[in-house]
Amino acid sequence: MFDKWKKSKINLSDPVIEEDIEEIPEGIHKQLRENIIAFRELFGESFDLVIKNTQVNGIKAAFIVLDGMYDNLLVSSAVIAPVLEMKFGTTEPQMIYDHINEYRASECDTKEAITMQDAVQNLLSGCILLLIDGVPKCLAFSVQGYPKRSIDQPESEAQEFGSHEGFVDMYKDNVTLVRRRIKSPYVRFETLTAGETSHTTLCVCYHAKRADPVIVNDVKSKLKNMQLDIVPGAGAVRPFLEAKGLSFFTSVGLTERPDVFAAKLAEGRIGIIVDGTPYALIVPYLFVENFHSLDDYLSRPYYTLIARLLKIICFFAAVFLPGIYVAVGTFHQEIFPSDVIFEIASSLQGTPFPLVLESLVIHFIYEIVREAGLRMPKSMGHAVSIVGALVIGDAAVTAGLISAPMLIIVAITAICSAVISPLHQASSVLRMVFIIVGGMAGLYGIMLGFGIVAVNLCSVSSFGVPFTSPISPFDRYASRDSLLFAGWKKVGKRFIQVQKLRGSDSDANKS
Amino acid sequence: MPTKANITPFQFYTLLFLSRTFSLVAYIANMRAQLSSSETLVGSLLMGIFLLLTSLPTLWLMKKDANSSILTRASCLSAVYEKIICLIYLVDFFFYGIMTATRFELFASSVMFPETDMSFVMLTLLAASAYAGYKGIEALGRSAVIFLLPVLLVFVFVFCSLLGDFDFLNFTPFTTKNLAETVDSGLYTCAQTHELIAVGILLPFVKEQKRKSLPVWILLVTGIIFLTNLMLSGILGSFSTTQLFGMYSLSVLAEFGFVERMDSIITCVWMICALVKLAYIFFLCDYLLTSLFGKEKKVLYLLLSVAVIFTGMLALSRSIFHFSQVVTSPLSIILYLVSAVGVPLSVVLAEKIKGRKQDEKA
Amino acid sequence: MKKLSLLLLPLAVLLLFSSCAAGETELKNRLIIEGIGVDWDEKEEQYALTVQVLVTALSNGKENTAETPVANYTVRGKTIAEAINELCDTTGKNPLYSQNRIIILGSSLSDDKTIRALDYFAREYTARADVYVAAASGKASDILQVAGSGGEITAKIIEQSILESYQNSISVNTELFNVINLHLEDTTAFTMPLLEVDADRNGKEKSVKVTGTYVHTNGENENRLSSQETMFFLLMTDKAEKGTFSIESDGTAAGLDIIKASSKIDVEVKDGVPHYTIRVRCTADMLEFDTPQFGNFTAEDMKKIEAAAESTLKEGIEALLTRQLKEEKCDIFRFGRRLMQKEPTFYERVKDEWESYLPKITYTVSVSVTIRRIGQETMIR
Repeated sequence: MFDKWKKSKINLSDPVIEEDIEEIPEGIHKQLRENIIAFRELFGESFDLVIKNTQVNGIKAAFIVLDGMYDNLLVSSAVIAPVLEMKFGTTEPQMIYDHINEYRASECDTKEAITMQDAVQNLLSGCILLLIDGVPKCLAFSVQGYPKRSIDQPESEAQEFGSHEGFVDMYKDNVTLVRRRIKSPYVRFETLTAGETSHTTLCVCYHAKRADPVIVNDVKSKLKNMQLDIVPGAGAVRPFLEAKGLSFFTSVGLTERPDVFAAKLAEGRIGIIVDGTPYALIVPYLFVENFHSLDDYLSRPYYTLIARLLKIICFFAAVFLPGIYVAVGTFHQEIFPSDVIFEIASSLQGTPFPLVLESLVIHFIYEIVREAGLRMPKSMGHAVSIVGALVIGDAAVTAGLISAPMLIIVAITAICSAVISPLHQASSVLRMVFIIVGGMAGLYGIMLGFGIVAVNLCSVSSFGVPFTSPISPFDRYASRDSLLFAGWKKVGKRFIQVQKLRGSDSDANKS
Repeated sequence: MPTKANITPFQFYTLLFLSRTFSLVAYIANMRAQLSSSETLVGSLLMGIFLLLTSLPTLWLMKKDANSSILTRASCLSAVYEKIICLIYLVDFFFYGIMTATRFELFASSVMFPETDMSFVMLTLLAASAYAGYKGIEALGRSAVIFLLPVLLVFVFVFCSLLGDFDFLNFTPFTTKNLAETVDSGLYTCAQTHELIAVGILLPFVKEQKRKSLPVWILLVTGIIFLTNLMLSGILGSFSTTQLFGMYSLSVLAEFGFVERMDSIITCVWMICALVKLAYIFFLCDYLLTSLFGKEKKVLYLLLSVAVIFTGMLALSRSIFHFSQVVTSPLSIILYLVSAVGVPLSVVLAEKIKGRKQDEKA
Repeated sequence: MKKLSLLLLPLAVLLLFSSCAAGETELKNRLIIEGIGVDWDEKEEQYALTVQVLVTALSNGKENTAETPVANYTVRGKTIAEAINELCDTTGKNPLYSQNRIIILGSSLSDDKTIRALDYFAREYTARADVYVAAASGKASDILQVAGSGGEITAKIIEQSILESYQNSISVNTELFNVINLHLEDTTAFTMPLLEVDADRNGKEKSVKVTGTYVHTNGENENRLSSQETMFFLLMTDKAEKGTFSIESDGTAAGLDIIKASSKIDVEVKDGVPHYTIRVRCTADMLEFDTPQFGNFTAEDMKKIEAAAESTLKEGIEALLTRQLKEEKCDIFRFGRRLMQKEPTFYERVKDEWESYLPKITYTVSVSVTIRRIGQETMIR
């Protein structure tokens, strides 16, 4: 039985079975009929492949398009009508082709596809192809008209004073949003494809005069060498750009806001817009940026200082507070103030479980409620709120299963966790780790864990820039926009280039 | 071994400062000799003077070439000489690692977890330190700067909150009755500052003006030790002589308003210093072993270092009596003088002699 | 291999750290000690400890009371450690010393036993060196078991009383580390606040009162300072924060409230005898001027009152010095320490006979009192 299981087991290191690889013919045939057959074979029984045979100036031709991907009006007025109504003196196919390419269909973007691969890519991108019998090439007209989301407020990065425009799923629209905000010819938008099946377009963006060409080339090379079958979102590209070594914190930034994206490009960073997702990636990314938001730059500096300090405190509370409470309750009871210890001891008296277990369970339940809130249909929202609040909040305490102080700790932790949403995932995991460590070794274990996490953080470099910059290594000028914001009058005097921060590779080479 | 200069002098000396701070907070008073408060203070000042004097060979070394490690320069003289120096330093840092681990074990088993077997906790600490050492001097330097703030805050909190209890009557007048013991105390405390030995080895990793920063670092270390002894004597008086870890006793008393009984938190912060100290010792052991054997096998060397230090710690910490025997012996002073003074001096002198011979030939 | 080590590492860490949790207990399983009273049982020749602990009620179905409920346990043992062990056996819980507010030493403890009793608390790693230490005029157990209004008086109230008494210069304020520090000085006698059970006229309602200062002596004599003497003691040793005293001048009395006080003690050896110069400076507000008329306070009255206050304080300090140095032969003022700092060679000669040397000591006391405010009533020039 086990032998059979062993034989049938798929070995991940084995090469993929050849039948799975799509085989696209290399070149476009001269004969129209053969091309049509090739397309039909390639797309199989797909209903959306539309092939319209026609004649152009007496020569056989065919329009090929994918149903639902084109704009009806645009196709009719910009492509089909001009091409079919064409009256040209010659019936030479190549000349007809050239004439159409140069003079017809001027209302839309026209590309030439020499290989079948290019033709298929254009077709899949929503273009309409024109094949002429006798010409081993085809023309692709950009007549995309597929349904897409309109520009709306970014959902994950709400700001008080910032723009209400967020990225959408189409990379071209996103590029337009960025172009509008940074009107410089030096800002480059270079595309490449990723995903062996999905052929997703990635747009690498950078300011040619400010970005480090070494980093730009490094990013491009990493993207080109990505081994991905499908790119479902920006998050799938992220791991390929992250720094080496294990870390709880990502060294690749993510944003949904074009204004933030543009600002980062102006600092010499490289942005990657992924087609099909409203999130863009930014590298290099620093740890302090998790505590920054656009509103910081649009508010008064004194308020920005408070806001950032608040976020840092919330981060530490979200990660360490439950662990510290468990540690203090288990090992270091002397820390409780004399007037409070009676209340806490009384509330803990009736609970059956150790503090560690209580804490882990209640945080686990909180994660369940949070996850349910994210995934569930809106109509069920009220039911989950009631269950979460009443059952966990009230009934569990009344029944004596958990203590009231623990519930307060969870509530504070949950709210603090929401304040620093970029670090939510890391803080959720670290919290559990520190609860266990606190329950096992008290504050000493927590401090040791903090030390290890800090050393780990300090060892990370995002494309040669230290992750903990500009705090450590301390960069005097850049620190004006780290924990505090010194105001635009000071910060605006000189732009910061992230790759030139103290301790970065370029800084080391300079010295 | 990559030797690109990648940490600033501030990061480097902060790392060494934190490392020295641990020796300060885990210092067991009066193990070598019963000294009065004023004798301890004079001993602190003498320590500073001895430290400055013993740093002269290192400064002389840096004067000629501040970017090459002492090992590299020794190898230019003779490959065998380099290996001998490597071995001396390795023995040194194993010894300091064992002493540090033992001190921490004694500290932890006296005030942190007295009812628990500390072997496993120590092993975890050593493993964590080895991991930190594995991450390299850059990570250590950067994290040292981050750790500096809470460490300094803790000192400020302890000292400021207890200023009200400071009483000049707790001090004793300085007499020459115990002059020999006072000088010995100064010398021994100086020998605890083995970070000076690391300066010569880690020079290539540090960029910019490292030579000027060394005397400043020595002054700061002397300052903090003097200030600590001053506060210990001024606040605890003779009570400090009855306590195993004076600084811990001081932290027990520190309170401000409703913020009281913070000794656990204060001790935790000091524990970071232990982590930093052991981490840089592990890094150095790895560096020295790589230089000795010529092959880079980081994980193996770190495991070996952990094993040696852990075994040594187990042997020494079995009872405080064993530890006191090592403390009271002249071993640490001899090791320090050989490594901090003898070796750099010999390298510099040998280079001078070699230079003169080459000039004569030319 | 990497995945295996990633899996094993957290398990190993958990296992390693679990050894720390083995010896520790959670707050709900700890006996929170509020106060400890130490007496000596002559009959059984062992320590009798009265330990006041917090009774943590169940959080469900219990009403909150105004006072924190406590319970007193009496345990015995040849050593303090043995007695505490009996407490663990009785209650089944591990004691938590860190919340201990006060250690009360009963009068049944001889001076020698007092020091021995304190050794446990100085050595025990959870017992804190900043815990207050006080002496009971009778039994320490009586102090802790006195019933107040609405329940037993907790150690918290005693602690607050000691603090307030110290602030009002009625008693000294001594923490454990201070007691040991002073005891280690060869020549100094340490002091502690003195607690007494005070009953009302009917003898029913009892309370704990801080009545002055206990002085530790090596002999059999009981050396106590009254609250007035304590004020003089604190004034001359630069430890007085506040205090109230009355003076009389030409048949008129006045009440003064000390706002600020400082003192300086200098020592010099004159003709082979240490001479101490004590300078006390005091700023006081007038609380009361005992005359039949209102609003007739003059500048001359103020000068008279200042002079009277100076002479009152001076006489009080001199009387205290006479009693302590000549009669009780107790150096509570750390004169020996000051001599050691100033004249170490001379000190070395006399330190072994310091007690018998004390009556020879000479001193000069000078007091300066300034009346800062006279209250709401005006002053006629």
